[in-house]
Amino acid sequence: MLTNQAISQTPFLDVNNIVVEFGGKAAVNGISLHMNRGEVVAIIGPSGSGKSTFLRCINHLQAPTSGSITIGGLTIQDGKGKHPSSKDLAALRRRVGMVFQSFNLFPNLTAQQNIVLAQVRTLKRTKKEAEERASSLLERVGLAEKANHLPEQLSGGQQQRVAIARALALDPDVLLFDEPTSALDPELGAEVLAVMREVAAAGKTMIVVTHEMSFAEDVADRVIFMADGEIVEQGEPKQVMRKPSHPRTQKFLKAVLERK
Amino acid sequence: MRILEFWPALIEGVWLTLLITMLSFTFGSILAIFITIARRSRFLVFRFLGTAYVEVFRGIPPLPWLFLVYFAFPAVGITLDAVPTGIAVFTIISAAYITEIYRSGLRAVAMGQFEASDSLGLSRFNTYYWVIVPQAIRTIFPMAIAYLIGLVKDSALVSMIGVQDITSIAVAESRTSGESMIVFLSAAALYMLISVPIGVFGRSVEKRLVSRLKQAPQVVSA
Repeated sequence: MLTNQAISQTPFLDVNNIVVEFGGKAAVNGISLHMNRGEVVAIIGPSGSGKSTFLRCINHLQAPTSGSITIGGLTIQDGKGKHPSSKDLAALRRRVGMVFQSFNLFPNLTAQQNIVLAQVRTLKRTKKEAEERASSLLERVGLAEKANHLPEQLSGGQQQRVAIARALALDPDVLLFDEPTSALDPELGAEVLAVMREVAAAGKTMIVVTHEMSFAEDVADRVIFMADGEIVEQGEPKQVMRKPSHPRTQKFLKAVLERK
Repeated sequence: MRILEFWPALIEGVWLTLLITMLSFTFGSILAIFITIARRSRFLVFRFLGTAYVEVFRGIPPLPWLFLVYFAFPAVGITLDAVPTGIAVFTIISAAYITEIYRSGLRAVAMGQFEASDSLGLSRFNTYYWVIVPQAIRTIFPMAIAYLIGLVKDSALVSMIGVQDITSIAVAESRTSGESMIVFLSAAALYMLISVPIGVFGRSVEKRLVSRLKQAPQVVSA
């Protein structure tokens, strides 16, 4: 039995010792992450550092070789031949939303229908309820007039904003972003980042894998620097990004700054 | 006009050709759904059985199958008339080919669509029903139509077990009338009369599948 005090001390999201091995090689090598409600974490690092793989473990799009995830009283455990049941996975995915690098909107459905589908099918909301929610979310991301457009009729930035609305529609406890602006030019990326800032400001718990350093610095409560499947350094954005203590972080940030 | 003498008989044959082709294609398309589900199962046994089915029935030509079922099966107590034999054999073979068509249609759908569906907590059924199949159908449909046209022509093989289809009647009429040239050209024309409209129909539906996308249907209902 958890006491009230214990509940308040339990992290909102508790990711423990995630390992992902591909062919015997560890792409993610024992990462843990504990987050409070409303916290925004940015994960930065070079390509191939395992940041996306780690992120995808949190909603189990990638099954970890071992490790556990606890969120809202639900624990998902992998490893030692154990795998979560499909019922537990469904419960996890109701709590964790995701925004993809390539948007992954459903091309056969309009913007509105993209947002309605899972509300009706997964959450069993009524069609009317779901449509109202979709309309208000489309307005929130500045696309009210695009409700009946198909994804192919929208710009990349607009598609990604619809994708954020689609994820928000299920009221996830945590929203994951996997390089949400990497497929966009700077101008369209800025539209998406603006929406993400607003979502963060509204108190959503977010984990963002990104190469957008200014976003990480301005919006995140904490920045994690990953390399070779491990967390090299983490802390307040100003501290990690302005005064990194680890040579690997320094090297990475120097390269990023020189590119600008 | 001697041509008028055998046309009624040939047109009789059109019905059997159509019957065998359309029923085999319909049943085969439905059977292929179950084989596809087996092939995408979590369980290795089902995947193996699904793949084995495709390989076995694609790997053996229709004619030996027709002979086997029609001439050899009675020895083990399974006796089918010629027409049901034709329908059964072509259903079973179609299912194997159409399963492959479904496979390539499903493969053409981006992995991200499955991932997005998973991330939204959609069940497997809902993922296929609302997201994957509507996209796959655009690839599947033209290939299925091409297969159907092939089936119309392959169905001529049932004449070998005595089904009175277009080919069978043409052979008989050419013997009795001695007008092989006109009879067989007529038979060829009748096959085209079946397959050309299928092709035209196929293209028009294909166009609608694409433009239906543009019009954005209300497919989501509570």
